[in-house]
Amino acid sequence: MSDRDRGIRSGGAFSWFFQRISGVFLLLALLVHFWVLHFSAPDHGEITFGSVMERLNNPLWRAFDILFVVTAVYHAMNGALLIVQDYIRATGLRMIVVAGLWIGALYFLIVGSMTILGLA
Amino acid sequence: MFYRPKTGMLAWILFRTTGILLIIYLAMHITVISNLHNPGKFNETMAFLGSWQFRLLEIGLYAVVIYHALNGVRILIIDFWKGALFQAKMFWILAAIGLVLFVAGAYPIFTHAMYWKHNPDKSNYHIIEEASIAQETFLAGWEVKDE
Repeated sequence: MSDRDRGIRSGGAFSWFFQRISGVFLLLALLVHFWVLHFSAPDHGEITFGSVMERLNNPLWRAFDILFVVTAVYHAMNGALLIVQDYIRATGLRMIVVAGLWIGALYFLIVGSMTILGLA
Repeated sequence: MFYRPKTGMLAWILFRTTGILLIIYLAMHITVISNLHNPGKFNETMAFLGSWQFRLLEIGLYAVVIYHALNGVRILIIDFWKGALFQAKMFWILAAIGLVLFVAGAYPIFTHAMYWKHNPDKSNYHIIEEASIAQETFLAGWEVKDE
């Protein structure tokens, strides 16, 4: 039985490399996110439904926010997998936890994107 | 018999801890915002989350984000350049940069918090009429069943 079959294989080069790529994107996106929603927000940082909808009416902002949430969930999920690989050695338990992580990641990916698209 | 903690180990423990905190925060952030699909509910919740107490908590979140981001930069320099040769030194240089960024960013958040502490009556969260118009414009392009 290979390591892969037993579910104890590490993330590999793809996981390693894209954690860095997504990290760089998140760093830049967070700068924008914090600037727009906290530091430069008018009315003493008061974020109202109207101000958010006004911003989201621009399709470029909507695209940015979707890319942002997809990257953030990917980075978080990959990080969580890394931690699971480090601490959970028992195959069965690991499979259960990884399955839970996948369900969680897909849930937040769908819910987050749908919120931005205004369907949720 | 005790393992002497070194800078690299400290950086790693903090990186992992802040990473777990950010995963929890991201989950909460998406869940809360997904429930704010009508202007009344949105403004009602934001009046709570935009209170000065929550704004002070946001400063803590900002600190966690800064640490995770800057140590991420340190890891990039270690992995893609010869950062391993000076990773401990880099930790303290980035700590100094992080402190500056923290003060620069925490200041506006703090002043906003103090403003809302002293002027809670000036909030616009009770005005939802304009918000409704903005929502209609936004949803115009999407086929959405009215709840």
